[in-house]
Amino acid sequence: MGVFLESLIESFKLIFYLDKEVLSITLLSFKVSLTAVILASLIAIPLALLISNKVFGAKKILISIIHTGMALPPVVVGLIVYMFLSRNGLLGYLDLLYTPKAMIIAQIIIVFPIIIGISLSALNSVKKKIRETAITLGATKFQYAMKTIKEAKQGIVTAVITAFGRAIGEVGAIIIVGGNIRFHTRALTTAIVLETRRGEFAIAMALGIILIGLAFLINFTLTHIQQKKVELWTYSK
Amino acid sequence: MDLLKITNLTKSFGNKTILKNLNLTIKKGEIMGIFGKSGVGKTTLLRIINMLEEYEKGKIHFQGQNIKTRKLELQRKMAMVFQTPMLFNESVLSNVIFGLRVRGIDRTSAKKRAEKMLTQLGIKEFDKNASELSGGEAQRVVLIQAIIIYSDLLLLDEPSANLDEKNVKLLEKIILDLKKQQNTTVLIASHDAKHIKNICNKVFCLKNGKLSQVKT
Ligand SMILES: Nc1ncnc2c1ncn2[C@@H]1O[C@H](COP(=O)(O)OP(=O)(O)OP(=O)(O)O)[C@@H](O)[C@H]1O
Ligand SMILES: [Mg+2]
Repeated sequence: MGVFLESLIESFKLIFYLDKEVLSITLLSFKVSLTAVILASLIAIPLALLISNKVFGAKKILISIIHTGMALPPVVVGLIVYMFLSRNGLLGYLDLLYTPKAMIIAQIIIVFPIIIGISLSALNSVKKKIRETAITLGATKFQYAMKTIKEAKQGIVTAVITAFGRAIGEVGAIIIVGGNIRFHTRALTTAIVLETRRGEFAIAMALGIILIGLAFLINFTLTHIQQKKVELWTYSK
Repeated sequence: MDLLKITNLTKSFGNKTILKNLNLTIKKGEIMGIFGKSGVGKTTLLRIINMLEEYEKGKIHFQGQNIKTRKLELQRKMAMVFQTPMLFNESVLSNVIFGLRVRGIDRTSAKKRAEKMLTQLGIKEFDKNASELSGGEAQRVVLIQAIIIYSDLLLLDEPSANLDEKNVKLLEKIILDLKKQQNTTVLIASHDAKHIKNICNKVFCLKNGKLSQVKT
């Protein structure tokens, strides 16, 4: 019990005094995961819409692949990205290993299938009649797409929430490709691993609390968006 | 000129032929009714005209242009009310103005037109979510959603199915007004001739994939 109390006090201290290192760690975690989720969403959501609109033979296989991708072990993703980015790797010349960019790349790969998979099931549940209503009322392809996305909004935001949760709490991939370098690629999760190994349980726990707090903040914002009524920007001819 | 001209239209689902060499001509301003037993293909015919369904054989001309696959420009000259009303998960008002908004009409004027029509049809709660409407209210809202566009051709699939007698009368009045004010052409499908014979200039019976006229 003592450790918990101690770490709780420690975490409030760290937050209260805005410890420079903790701040940099927190910001990096936030930046990497948010960037990965946003970039992945920008491609995954339109792609999910495309897949849900099309009828083709290999659709079942494709969906199975996506679902498998949702369960991709982050360590394996980290390993693969590492091999591509390492000096002798195919993309070694980009010199990205042990940078936040490498961490973002790894996390994009992790969250991409999650966003596609959940968005796709949300989009598929938009009834054919609803889609046809938009068409018969004269929607352009773009207006039709926006309407479908709007109808599936709840599920799509769930996809983004799930993806962000996965990204911010993920450690296996970013520790491999980021290298956990102080003031450079050290994120909340990788710092927790380090502090725990060092026996600094209070600091580790404090970082854990910050991590959970951050996740809550993001989820709260996204849930707010999810429940809000939105007028989508669809109505330019 | 004929607004719509269908010649030798054939449509099958799998090996089941629904429409066989069907012919139909509609002139501008006509109110035309089609009735027939359940499953004869009334909905299918309306959906083909609305470019929601493809067909194998025959020719369809709408305002002189050939209809085969979807053309936005032609689609925007028609409006169809589906047999089972389905509304977007948003307010009644947003539902009703959708067709105007996609055509680039600003929200304020769209809203004005919508509120007038909704009030006329006895729907007062504009901001209510459409999912909270009763069956009859939803039926009236989808009707407004279509007629508010002032299209050249209005396709109504069983429009009176969920309506009580009072609202059926109202529906008939609205269609006649539309014809009077906009010279809108209307095509109504119903499983029962008595629903359409009052207001239609021409009534056809759909049977065995073909239309036969029963009233002139
Ligand atoms: N997408 C489809 N795939 C296969 N068969 C279909 C499809 N749509 C309609 N059918 C069949 O075509 C026939 C005609 O259907 P349609 O809906 O046009 O009938 P309807 O005259 O409108 O009937 P109702 O009065 O019950 O509405 C039916 O036998 C129906 O099962
Ligand atoms: Mg029908």
